[in-house]
Amino acid sequence: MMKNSKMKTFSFSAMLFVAAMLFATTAMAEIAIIANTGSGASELNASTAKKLFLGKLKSIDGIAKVTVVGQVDDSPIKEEFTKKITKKSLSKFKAYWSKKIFSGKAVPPKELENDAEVKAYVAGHADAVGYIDAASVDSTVKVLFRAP
Amino acid sequence: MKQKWIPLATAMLGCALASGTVSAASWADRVSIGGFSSANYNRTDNAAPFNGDENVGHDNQGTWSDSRLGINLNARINDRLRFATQLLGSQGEGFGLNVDWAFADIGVTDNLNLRAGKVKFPVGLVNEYVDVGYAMPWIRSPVVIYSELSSMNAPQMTREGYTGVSFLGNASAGDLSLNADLFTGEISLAGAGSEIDNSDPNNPVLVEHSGPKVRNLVGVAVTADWDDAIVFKASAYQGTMRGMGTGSAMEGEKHRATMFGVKADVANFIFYGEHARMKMGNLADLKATSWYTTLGYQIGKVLPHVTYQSYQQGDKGSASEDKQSIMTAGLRWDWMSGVALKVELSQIKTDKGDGLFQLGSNMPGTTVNMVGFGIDTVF
Repeated sequence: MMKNSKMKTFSFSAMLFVAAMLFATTAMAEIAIIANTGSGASELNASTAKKLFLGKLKSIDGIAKVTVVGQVDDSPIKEEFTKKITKKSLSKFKAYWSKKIFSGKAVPPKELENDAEVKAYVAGHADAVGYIDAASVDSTVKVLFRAP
Repeated sequence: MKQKWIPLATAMLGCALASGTVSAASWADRVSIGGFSSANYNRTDNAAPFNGDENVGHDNQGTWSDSRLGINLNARINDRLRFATQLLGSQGEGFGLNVDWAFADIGVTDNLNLRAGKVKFPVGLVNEYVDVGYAMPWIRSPVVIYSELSSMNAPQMTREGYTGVSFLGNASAGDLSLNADLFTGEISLAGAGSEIDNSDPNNPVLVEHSGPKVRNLVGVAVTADWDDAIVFKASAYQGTMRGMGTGSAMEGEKHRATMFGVKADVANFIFYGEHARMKMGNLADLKATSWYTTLGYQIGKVLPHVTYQSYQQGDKGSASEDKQSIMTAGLRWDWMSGVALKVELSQIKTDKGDGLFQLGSNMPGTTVNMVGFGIDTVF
């Protein structure tokens, strides 16, 4: 009886832990594509966001020449971004850009350290579009797309 | 040869400088530096050098000759003009850095770019990034098409960049992107190379090439890319061989190649397939047909894959025919951000001639095993 009770307690704790992990992952994972509040850009769809960060689009509605801003590989949301926005693992995302850069066909996007730096850059550049954790969004930038 | 493209490129460059808008971005924003490296070791169980001469070919002594380092620099002058260059060094050349490519890129419109200078040769699925190991599943790109051999018993598809001008157009509709690259110029082939002059069958003579070039080069490469999951590429080029040396059968011959390739990355499956045909005028000994196919399955950060390569040169059944196949089982492990580890086991079967072994190695009927491992980085 005692053994059974301990088992139940363990199972419940394990379920709580798994639920907490799932919740934590979900809570951290929402990605926001942001632009300067003064830009004419208003909204992106998933396909346009993907093309923009894969270098297949140079302009979007409201910004004639977009300056794309990324984050360094060890930033907390880089891997979430590559999976949710570009539908690629981080290594495939890097391999994709390696082909474009080292064949001379594209310039790598500027990479900043974290959400705060991306927000500050986007807030200061009318043609910039970047991504941050949705939890970091504030009034200094406008959100064009959210990927939960 | 008069470089007819130079006045056009100069005029376009002037227009781009005059009409482009210099953004408020600082130079730090407009200049970027990056690079890549590969440290590759290969060893066979045979003394005959494979895919290179006795200095760089892979043999039973083991070699790091596939190792290389690239440094890439981009400078955006204004919203229409960009200068880009890449320096490349390899272990086989003592890591002395050479200019792999260097050109000005002029954005004529959002869908048309003109590039002028030394441009990476765009023919074939992977030639434009052939030295960037990190961008590929293999330790080295399939040698039956992308060999660095400069001798006669090799695919004559060049890996070198051409000096000239390129018109690069693109269009997209939904998830489909189309690119067309029309280019012209000339290629200075790396390595002098040599060939055997058999015009007198009783007295074959070794001819050292002086300064081989492919002149009057024209070519086109068309790519259809569906959401980066399925990529088709067809390409063709033609040029005239010059600087081959007195007595060379290739001097003045028209060199042509056509290639078709497909790459797919769908539901964790990776597939590459490519076919190439190369001709050197009417020289039967130098027409070659090569193809390869690769299949892999991505399991997390690990990509196991198998590749079959086939190479045939010269008339079928003739005394000078080369026929070789290579079967490879390999593994790529994306160890950490920007670093991939690779290991490969290959079996090279030579049915006729020397295939991609050093000329004169007497390889018909042999099977040679090769093991390789590598570390690829991008930074």
